[in-house]
Amino acid sequence: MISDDDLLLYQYNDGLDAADRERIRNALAAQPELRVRMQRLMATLDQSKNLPETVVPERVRLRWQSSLEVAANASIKTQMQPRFRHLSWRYGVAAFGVAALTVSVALSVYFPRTVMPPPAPSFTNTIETNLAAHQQQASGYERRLRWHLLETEQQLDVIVEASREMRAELIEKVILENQRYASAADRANEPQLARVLRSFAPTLVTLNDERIAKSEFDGALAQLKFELKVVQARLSKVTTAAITNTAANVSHA
Amino acid sequence: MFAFLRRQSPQKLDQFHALLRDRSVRWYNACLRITRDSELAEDAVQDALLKAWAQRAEFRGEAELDTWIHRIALNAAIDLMRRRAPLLYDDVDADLQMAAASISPETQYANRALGQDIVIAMGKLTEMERQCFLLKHLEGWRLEEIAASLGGNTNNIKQALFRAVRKLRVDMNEWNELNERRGET
Repeated sequence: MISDDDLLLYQYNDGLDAADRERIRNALAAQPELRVRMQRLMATLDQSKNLPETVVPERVRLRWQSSLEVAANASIKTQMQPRFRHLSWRYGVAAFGVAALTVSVALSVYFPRTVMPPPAPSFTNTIETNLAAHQQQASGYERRLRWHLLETEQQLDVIVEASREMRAELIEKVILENQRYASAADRANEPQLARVLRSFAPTLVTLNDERIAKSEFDGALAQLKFELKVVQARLSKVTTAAITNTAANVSHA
Repeated sequence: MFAFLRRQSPQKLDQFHALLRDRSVRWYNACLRITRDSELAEDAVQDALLKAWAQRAEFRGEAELDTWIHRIALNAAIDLMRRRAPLLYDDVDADLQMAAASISPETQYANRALGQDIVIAMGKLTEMERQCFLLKHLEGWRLEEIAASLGGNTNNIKQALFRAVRKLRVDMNEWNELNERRGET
């Protein structure tokens, strides 16, 4: 007896061994009703190819185009720079920052495990310790994100007065940083935050377009600053709520 | 800035833009069927585009690039789904827009109704069943490829696929019979 599951796999030419394929092929050749059964099965399933097609919204297409332009621009700049230029003072500062961060993370991970356990804290000390612990915990990704948002805000103030080249450089830097934070947000299971960060890209690309009118530039800048403020406010709210919860949990304990 | 870009790598960037214009509806819809979430589908296509751009030297033609982006976008969609908390999908497809078609109003109406029924039928499947069915039947992936992407082994994938097919047949048989009657007349 040949089941519909077997017929399905036969039709897909996948998931059956040679002997089973041979058996089904012979059965199909010999039994017209089996062929009809298989045709009906596939016709039913092929209805699924009529799934409605959704139009891609224009803003989404623009967002994809912008991200491609940014990636293209970044890669061209990288190709054009001689290798040793990567070792400029900026990279030195960045490398030092990364090294310092790595050391501090390593110390914070290593020492709490190796030092002697502290004496039992008093009640007030418990709250303070827990708050400090939370702040420390939040200070990893959140602190860096806050710093990035703050820095972005400051750079937006700078670009108004900056030369065209400097403006382009600053904006590209912000976009690339933004992409890194968006990927980090994905990894931290913060999809909404990742989306918000990615949604800055088209506005940033608009700001970098020398052809736009001043009013359009000002509008895009104001919009971006507003969105940055919103994200910063949300981050503060989340952290404050978490600290309050920590304090409440401790006082109930 | 963009003029400068085009001077440096006109073919590649133009090729990407042309593909984006021509094929993005297909990528987006494939991802949308997998995720049933427009934002995740948008992110998946963007991720795929950026990955493709980073590896652009490896592609020899538009067809290869298109196929590659399509596949990477689907994998990105699956990955984004995995990372996201589960959602209920009751109303997700309510605002699915039908593409304009130059066919008769009756056929258009029938297609719309069929499309909506398929969406409803798909909605009755579990996430695993739906993804297995879409990747196998619509995208033509091998069972091993689906297993590698979704996790698990080919037997699990087969079983999910069989369950999906059984459920879909219950809902879609009516349309099949209608089509057969149309064919006879």
